Amino acid sequence: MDDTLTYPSRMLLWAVIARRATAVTDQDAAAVARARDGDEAAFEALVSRHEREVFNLAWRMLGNREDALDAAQETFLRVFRSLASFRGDATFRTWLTGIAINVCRNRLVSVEVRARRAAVPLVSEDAATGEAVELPLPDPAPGPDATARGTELRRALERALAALSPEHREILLLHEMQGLSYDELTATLGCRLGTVKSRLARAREALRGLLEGVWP
Amino acid sequence: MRCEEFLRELDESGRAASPEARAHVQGCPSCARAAESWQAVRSELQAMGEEAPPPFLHARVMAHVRADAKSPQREAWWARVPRWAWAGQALAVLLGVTLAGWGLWQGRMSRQPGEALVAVKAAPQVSHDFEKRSLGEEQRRERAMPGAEAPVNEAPAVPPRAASRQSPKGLRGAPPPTAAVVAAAEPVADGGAAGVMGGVPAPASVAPVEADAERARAEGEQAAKDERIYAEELRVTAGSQTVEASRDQAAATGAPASSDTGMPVLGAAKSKICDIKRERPVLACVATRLDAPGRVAFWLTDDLAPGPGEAIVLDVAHDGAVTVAGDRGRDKARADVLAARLRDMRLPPGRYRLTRADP
Repeated sequence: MDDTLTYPSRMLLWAVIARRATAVTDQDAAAVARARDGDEAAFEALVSRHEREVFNLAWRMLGNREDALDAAQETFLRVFRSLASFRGDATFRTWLTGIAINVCRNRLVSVEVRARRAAVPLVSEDAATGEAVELPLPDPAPGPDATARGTELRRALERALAALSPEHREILLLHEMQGLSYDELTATLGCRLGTVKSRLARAREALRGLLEGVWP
Repeated sequence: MRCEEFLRELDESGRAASPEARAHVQGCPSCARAAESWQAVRSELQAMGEEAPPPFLHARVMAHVRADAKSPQREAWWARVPRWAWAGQALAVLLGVTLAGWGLWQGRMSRQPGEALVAVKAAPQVSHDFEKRSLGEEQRRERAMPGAEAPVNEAPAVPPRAASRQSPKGLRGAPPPTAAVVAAAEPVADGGAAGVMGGVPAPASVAPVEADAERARAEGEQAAKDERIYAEELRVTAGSQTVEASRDQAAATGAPASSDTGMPVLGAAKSKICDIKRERPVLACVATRLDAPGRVAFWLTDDLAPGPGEAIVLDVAHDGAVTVAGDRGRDKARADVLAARLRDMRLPPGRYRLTRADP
């Protein structure tokens, strides 16, 4: 929503968005209701519908596919366990995304703690002398894309995303990659519209700064 | 519009939205390039969201969901507790509160000036000694002295349990403390308590200093021995440590156990540690260079690690890409996951043979 709109126009826009949001959730609402009643096929349909975006969000947040797989699995398991508590105040997609973000945040904290402890030093042995030679610690930032799409921009973007703070990374991914609107962002992140806008602006600025000199 | 204002609008809205911004772009090549590159970034971000997840993700999620649906833990924890257990717990809490209140009331009723210090100092020692002392020692004490007067070379043998029971009565009936009682009770364990509990002023020689020192030394040795036993149990118990705890321990001891290969196995006497948080066993593995000297040791989960006696050949390219060769490479899904994991470790380029550290 644009702050320059007049009040009546803003209310009209709210009604349009709400109607559109209701139209979007109708598809999920029916499946959610059946899944709550124990319909496994209904829950499986929800998984099929949303696993791509949950996986990609987790992958870009955490930086590697294995952690993303675990995070996606944990997200859907949490969703399954707490389906009964989903009140329908927000769309199912918004609720699901919020859970995925929380799972990723928890894992990021865990990764940072382990990295600080230098938990996995790689030790190599010099065959000639038999002395242990410690290799540099693995870089917590993600490496090149697994499937190696190979574009320069993709690589630069991945490195820049990894260098962003988790707060900036998540709001950029949610808005630019997932396409969440400002309203959905406020619901997912649990903050006000002004906060969402300013955080997004700072995230874009930070990303631009990281890409400067690298891309184009 | 200046360039800084244009870039600010670009950051705030993600595009050149206002007429002023669009006009500025027409006349400023630098800002036009910034807008164009930002649009390319947005397109690339959207493309990132279109990557297909591995096919086994769906199956894995549904397998866990089905298992969870059948699990008794699906119930809320409080619903699984039987009613009689709730009643028992409520009764226990009520009893505890009642006893605590009665104890406080008794203490308040029986306290007199000068006695409080003796009672407070004596009581904790009684319970502490009771837990630490052996049965034989208790029996010796019981045989030695049931009364209030202590022999010269031996602490009064009133059993701590008896002493604690006698505590309130003894204090209530005790005469005003004499200087001897107070002086004897302060540095002494149950000797002083026994003297006060009996209600009779104890002689000054109620607990010789040498006997107390010897007892304290024995207790300290026993406590140190208990600590060593506990630490040893903690170290060797599989499944009770996280990988991090085992590594911290290795760092603290400075001498991790070595595997049969002679390579230091990080953190533990056993090569198989259960990571409680991930609920998946991790195995120590070794990647031996085939084209140059050197070996690398690291941890892999059991679904990625080579099987017992199995050797997986890996090729690490200069750009960090990892290729899994051989039979394992034919299982593309697992090979992809393994390659991704190894790529994150940033192995030096080369060819490796990956095996378990403890075959």
